[in-house]
Amino acid sequence: MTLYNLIIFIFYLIFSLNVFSEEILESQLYEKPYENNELKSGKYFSREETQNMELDEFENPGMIWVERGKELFNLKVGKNNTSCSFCHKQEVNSLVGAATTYPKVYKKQLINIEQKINMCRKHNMKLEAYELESNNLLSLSSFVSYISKGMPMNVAVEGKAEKYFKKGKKMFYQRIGQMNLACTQCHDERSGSYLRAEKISQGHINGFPSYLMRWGSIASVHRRFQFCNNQARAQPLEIGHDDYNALQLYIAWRGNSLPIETPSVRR
Amino acid sequence: MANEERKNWRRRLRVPISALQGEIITIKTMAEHIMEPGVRRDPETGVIYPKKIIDLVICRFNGKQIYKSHWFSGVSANPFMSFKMKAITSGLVEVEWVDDYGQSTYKKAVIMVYDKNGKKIIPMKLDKASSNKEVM
Amino acid sequence: MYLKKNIFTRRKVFNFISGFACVFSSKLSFAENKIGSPFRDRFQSYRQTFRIEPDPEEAKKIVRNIIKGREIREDLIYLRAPDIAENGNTVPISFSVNCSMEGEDYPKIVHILVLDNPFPEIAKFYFTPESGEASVDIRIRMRTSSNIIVIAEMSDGTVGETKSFVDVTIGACT
Repeated sequence: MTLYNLIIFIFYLIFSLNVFSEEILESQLYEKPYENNELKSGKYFSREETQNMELDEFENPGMIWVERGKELFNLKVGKNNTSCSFCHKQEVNSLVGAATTYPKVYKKQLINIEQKINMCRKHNMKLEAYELESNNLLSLSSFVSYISKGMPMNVAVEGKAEKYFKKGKKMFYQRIGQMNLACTQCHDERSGSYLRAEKISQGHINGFPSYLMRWGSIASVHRRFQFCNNQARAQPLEIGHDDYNALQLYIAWRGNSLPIETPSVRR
Repeated sequence: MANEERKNWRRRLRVPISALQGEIITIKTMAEHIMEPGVRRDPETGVIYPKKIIDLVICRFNGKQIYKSHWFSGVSANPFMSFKMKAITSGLVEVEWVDDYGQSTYKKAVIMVYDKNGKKIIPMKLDKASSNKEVM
Repeated sequence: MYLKKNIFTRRKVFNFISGFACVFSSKLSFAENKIGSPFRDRFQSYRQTFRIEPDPEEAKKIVRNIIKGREIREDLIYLRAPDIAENGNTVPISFSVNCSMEGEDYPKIVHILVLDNPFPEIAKFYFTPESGEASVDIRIRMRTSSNIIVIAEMSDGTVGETKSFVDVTIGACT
């Protein structure tokens, strides 16, 4: 090796170390991009007609799923003739406030509301689990989020959830797809500005499962992530994937203290 | 996910519980329906989703039709429609949604109409007493 | 003296020419980009919607058939539609006909049309004097930015028409 080659090699080492040191420093781990008084839910980034559609409970199309979820909650099925309301009554073990803490760690696994409903059905009620992103599961999950409407989001990221939180944060800052875009470039740095004719929102998920006008039905957070990945021309993961759960944990923490607004109307 | 076979397509109807006589009330209706226009293709197989829309919406008050509306494929999915009615007597408001395959679903609600003194107006016609004083 | 092997046998030459002809002819139809050519149409429209292009002549004919040459009354209908629609799938509009609803002064049929949609007619409404007020809220679909036209045929034979322009835009994530 000549001296010239050695110098080139040393420069290469230094630059490659720079690339690897994109690891998030411990001190910056809990640094929030928005202060509490700067947080704005997606409602303020949509036009007036859409906001009016969301305000009235009758005109909100997402309430169709909430009403169906309420019926399913009280429906008695199975050999034991049980229903969700058998255990979760209004006075004892009610689910009010439960949706503000999801996604959370349960038995060494990070899960969100839909997966927890399926677990409850399989182990506690001895019924078969719903298919992910099916109508019945979305109705139940939007009902469970609806009864906590108005309560501020409060996910926990210390302790057991810390490694999932780090993974989620890394995914949020990573560039993906043919367009080489990271979530943070649009939703942190350029929120409020226009992308073609749409105002970029801050990217909070306090209104999910929400009614999206482009699909004409209620969608869960993972389906929305899949769509975002498709738009950046990246390969989307499947619904219920662990990486999406970690990303959902980070984004929910990012919007902590925003009130839950299920079912919201978004484009 | 389009055109799924299930039986729990919901219909919603909101009518005010009570009204004064002569007041104009708003009736709001919403149907959960996919309203497929017949021009979209499935992204994987290329097959066109068949057309399936709600064709006809009829509102009847005490059995008599007061409002009719024909829809075509331009109405949005999960359509919401609200219209007005004049409250003359109490009665039953019934809204019927008819598919373009002939299937129909309906939803009913009752409205009470009061006059200025607070008396309920019932949908009945009383015959006038006859003038000749014939006694049986 | 040995026989020189002929590289170009008749079989080889014939196979080569016919193969070349096959490939070349199929390449020709690939290269043709005219509408109506089966390769181009099938591959281009395979994953898109079945694009029925709106026919402006047909749409104007529909409007003329409804109006039937009668005189148009302005200020009969009050139409409220957003300036810019958030999403073309759900555009909430509302109209109200300015009349007394007594006797013969009520709208028999009210049409809503969007001329740049592939199927211009959106809805028809039939009112009666018991309706109290001819005013309706509805949510419609629009494909591109265009005029919404509301035409009211009154029971005494007169016609009223109102237009309103709505912008339907493409957002970042369409």
